[in-house]
Amino acid sequence: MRVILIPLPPRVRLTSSARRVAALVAAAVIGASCGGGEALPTTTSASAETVPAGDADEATETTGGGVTPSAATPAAPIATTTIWADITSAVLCGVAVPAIVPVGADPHTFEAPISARADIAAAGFVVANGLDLEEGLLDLLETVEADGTVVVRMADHVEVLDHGDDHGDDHGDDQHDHAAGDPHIWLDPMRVHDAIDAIVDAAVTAGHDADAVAACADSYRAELTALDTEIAEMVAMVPTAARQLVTNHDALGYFADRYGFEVIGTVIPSTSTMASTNPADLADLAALIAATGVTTIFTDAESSDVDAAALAERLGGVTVTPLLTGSLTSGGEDGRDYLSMMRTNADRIVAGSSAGDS
Amino acid sequence: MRWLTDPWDWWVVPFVDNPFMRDAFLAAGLAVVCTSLVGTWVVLRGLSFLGDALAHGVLPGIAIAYVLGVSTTLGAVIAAVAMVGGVSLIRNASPLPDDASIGVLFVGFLALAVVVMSAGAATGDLNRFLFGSINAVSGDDVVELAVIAALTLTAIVVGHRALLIGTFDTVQAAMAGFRPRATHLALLVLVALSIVAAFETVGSLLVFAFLVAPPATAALLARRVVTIMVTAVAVGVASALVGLLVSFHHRTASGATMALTTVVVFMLALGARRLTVSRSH
Repeated sequence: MRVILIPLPPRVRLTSSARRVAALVAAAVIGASCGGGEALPTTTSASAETVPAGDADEATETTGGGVTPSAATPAAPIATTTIWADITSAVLCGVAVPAIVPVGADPHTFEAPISARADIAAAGFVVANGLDLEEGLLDLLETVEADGTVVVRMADHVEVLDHGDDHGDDHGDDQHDHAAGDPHIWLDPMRVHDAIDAIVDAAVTAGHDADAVAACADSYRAELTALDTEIAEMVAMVPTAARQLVTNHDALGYFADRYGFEVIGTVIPSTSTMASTNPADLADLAALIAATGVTTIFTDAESSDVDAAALAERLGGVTVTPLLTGSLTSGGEDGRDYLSMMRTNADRIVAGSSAGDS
Repeated sequence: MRWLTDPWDWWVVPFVDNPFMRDAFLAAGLAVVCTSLVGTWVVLRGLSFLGDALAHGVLPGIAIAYVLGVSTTLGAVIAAVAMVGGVSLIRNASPLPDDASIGVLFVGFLALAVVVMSAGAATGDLNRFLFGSINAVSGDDVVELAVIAALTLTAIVVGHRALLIGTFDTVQAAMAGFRPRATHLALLVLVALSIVAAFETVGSLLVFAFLVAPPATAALLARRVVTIMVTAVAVGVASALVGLLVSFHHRTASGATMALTTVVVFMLALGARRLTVSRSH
């Protein structure tokens, strides 16, 4: 058995649907050619290794079951993204939590296989981000919820920020509730800290050991608080005037909110990587970067940065630094779990923001 | 190779174990019945480009309906009818060949959809329409598709003689009392309806595969129109089945996998045909 990491289409704009089709077809072909592999990456917070779902189940059965079959062990939940899978795993004392969107994929654009329904059916409950982050999974989540599966939307449990420049999207819709607001809540560790009660509640309702989960949640909250302190100390090295961020898509609102930064501009004027750039906004952004002396454009590791790179090259003296915004990484230590991912991001943001001042 | 070595486990167990697989297959199967029946005439009459234009032409209707907060299915139907009307309008008012007038409208409609969506900032829903939501199909959708499939089948049977004569000889069709232009328009409306019925399963970007690939495959293998239709339905349903199972077992995007399967089957049929033809010479 091996883990298939389907190469996802790069960030694809609506204007380049053909490119997206090609990438999807490529993904389908590559996926189909990997004969025999049917593993869903799962995340266990303890080791944070990506292991096949089947192996994880067997492991759980042998350790949990002992001599007698353990009918009492409740099913592990499933998460939409690798980040929420890792956080959920930590809260549930290291139980393996699979993610629907694979490592390295952009949660905004991922198109699910139908086997995701089976994975959800096998799970105790679903941990989703909400606020339309998982654009390709909206219908899927609504359907399984209508069938009685508990879907915990983490964004329902935090104070939500509006998207920087709102397009006044006050359209009525009779079928779906349309989330307004920036979905990237996990980029503020203290919002995660406050929201994990929702995972605890759902887990206890699903039959997990309440005392054990409460203890694990407490110790994870302590780690989140320590992470928050650490990032705050790192950020303190950046002069207040230099705490200005230019990003690829509008993903860093919560980080900025927490650590006293301001997102002064984004290459893609949207909280979704599915939106496209327009020349007027790009020209404004170039003028803004020149006027403020910002030297770094922070992009998303899991989606395309062609427009940001072109802008940086045109301006000169501006570098493009990828951040781990939407997914954990499979290799290396930088993004193997949520905590290290956030440290890596904070490192790169501090380095990028300080570059112009030295 | 598990599909060969352990066929029960690969082909049957997913449907036995998972109600959603049964619903998804029923929905995709019914959608492909609609598109294969109608698509046979699209292929035989050389209307593939118009079919493609219609498949994408529903998008602005969906986008505008979404922004206005009305039924997106209704929007899709209106946009498709507008596309059909627009094509004949341009054809009658200009000396241009058909493909030019179709092309102009096609790109115009697609661009309009993107512009409306970018102004309305509703990317999540555009995603749903571009790529469909076979993973989220429920029993209600299956019933709706069954009704549309029954209506399509009825229309195809009732209109068979008119379509047959009109396809191969419009002069004779007119003399025999069939009205070729009315028949043509009725067919285009049917195409639009089958696209609207099917795009929720594979999405607007790929629904064209369902419309054209199974009938094209069938046209390689059979000669009589009715045989082509029956073969197209069989090929389409089989492609949907294989595509769903590949998506299930190998975790590939479901709509795209089904669309890709229809095209792979076409290529295989083409290869098989060349082999047999060259052998008979």
